[in-house]
Amino acid sequence: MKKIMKYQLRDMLIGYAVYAAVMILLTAVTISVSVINSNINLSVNGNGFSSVIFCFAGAIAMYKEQCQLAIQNSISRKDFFRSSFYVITILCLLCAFIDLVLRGISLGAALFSAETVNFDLSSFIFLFYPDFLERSSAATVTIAGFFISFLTCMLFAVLGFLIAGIYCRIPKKFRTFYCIALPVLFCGLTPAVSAFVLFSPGPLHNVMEPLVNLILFLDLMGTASGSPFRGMLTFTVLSLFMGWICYRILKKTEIA
Amino acid sequence: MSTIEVTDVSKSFKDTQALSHVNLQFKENTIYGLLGRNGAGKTTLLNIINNRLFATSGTVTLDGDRLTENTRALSCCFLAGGSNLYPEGMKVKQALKWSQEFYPDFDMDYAKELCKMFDLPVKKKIKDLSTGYQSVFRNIVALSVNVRFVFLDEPVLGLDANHRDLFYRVLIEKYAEHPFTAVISTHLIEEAANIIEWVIVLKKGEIIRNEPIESLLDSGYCISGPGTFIDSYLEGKEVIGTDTLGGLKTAYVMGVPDPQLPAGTEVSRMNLQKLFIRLTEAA
Repeated sequence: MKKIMKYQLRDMLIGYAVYAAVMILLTAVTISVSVINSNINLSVNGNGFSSVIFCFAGAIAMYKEQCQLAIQNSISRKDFFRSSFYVITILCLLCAFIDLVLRGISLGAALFSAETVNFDLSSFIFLFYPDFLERSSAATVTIAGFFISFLTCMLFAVLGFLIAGIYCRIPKKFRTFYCIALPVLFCGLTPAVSAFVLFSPGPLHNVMEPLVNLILFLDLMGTASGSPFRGMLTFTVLSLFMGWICYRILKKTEIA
Repeated sequence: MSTIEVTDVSKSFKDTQALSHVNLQFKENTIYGLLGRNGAGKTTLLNIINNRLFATSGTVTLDGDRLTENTRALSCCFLAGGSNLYPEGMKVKQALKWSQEFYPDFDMDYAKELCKMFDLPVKKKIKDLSTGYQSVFRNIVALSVNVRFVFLDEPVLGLDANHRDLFYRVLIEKYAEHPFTAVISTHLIEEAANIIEWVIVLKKGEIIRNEPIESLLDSGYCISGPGTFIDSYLEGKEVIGTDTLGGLKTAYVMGVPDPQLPAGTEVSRMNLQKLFIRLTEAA
């Protein structure tokens, strides 16, 4: 397992180094612009999302390319899965770390020239759990923010791994349909159907309302109660569940 | 002595029975020829042994340990298959470097030497290589990994005559210096016949011959001489093919030659390709 893990880590770290450099550069440019022009208010809120997308895409690429390489080099699927799981974990930790570093840079810049820097950089914890920020210390917020970033990245990385796993498992003739149907389903149909069900009056709304109320009552993300720990638990359970499905799929995947 | 044992392996794809109750043994330090017509199940068998496909039933073991999903046992095997499983952007030299990581006994100097001998462009991406050079690349890795069992699926696919000749010479030299088991699946039977020690013939997913090449070739013989003499000699015999050149005729006959041969005729060893055609023909 160590051999394939070494390859996977090296491959992922090259991608991560480029990503981290671009993010730091972008942050530096944004801070510079806000320092030079004191009348500009800059706010960057999407850096957590970019990490999530990076982990998601990285996991897809990892499965599609490295699984075949592992099989070519006589590595069992089980060892490939274990190695991938470790590499994804490391990658997500590093992505959570870069979010933390970027936040640190923005705070540092603000400390140095509070008069001129009108720059704010937020991550998931600031976007989804504003109540938590008010009642917790800075250290708690930082630690919770790190873990919520890590677990969000992890959830989407495992989702990417699952999507790639299904792609490799299904017969070739269905792959084009799968590639088209997946974004259409998640980005088009699902939001459209959800909106229709939630906002349209009529019997469908009456049927779905208890389900929506149940979801709100359960507060799986913890956003209503302002508890990121609920979200962490949900993400962990979901990641583990999807990981288990990935393993079941990988074990049955034939590569030739 | 290590042995790979294929026990009662069957494999079906939807309505196609690719392999049916295959039982085989691959012993250490032997060159096997895996022969069969298109669709006979050669590649499927190699893929099952190397954990790429799963058998519908049956087992594959190495010295009693199952090969399926067993990295330790699989590390004794290498399959140079037809499809490119290396990452899209990987260059030849990177692939060689990583092969060294995956196989501790990989001989990088030997691989580099082979790359020079075959004029393989090491700076090119694997996917950008021509069909012939992709085969050359796979063969070079297979010969350099230094594992006990090397499986070569169509190793000379797309290779020109010079490279084919060079490949067979390199394989024999390597085998002489560091013996290993090579299982060669090929359609170029005449060429491979000189290096094969043991022949396995697959027909419609079943093994119809599994024996040393000597014993297989002893099941028939070749007789050549003047056409009229040969024609009279062949009466009542099982002839599997004939070649005629001017007044001379060569016949491929099953069985043992008569003690008394017609004057001017000569008996020689059976031709493996002729025998293969006879064994695998549809009827």
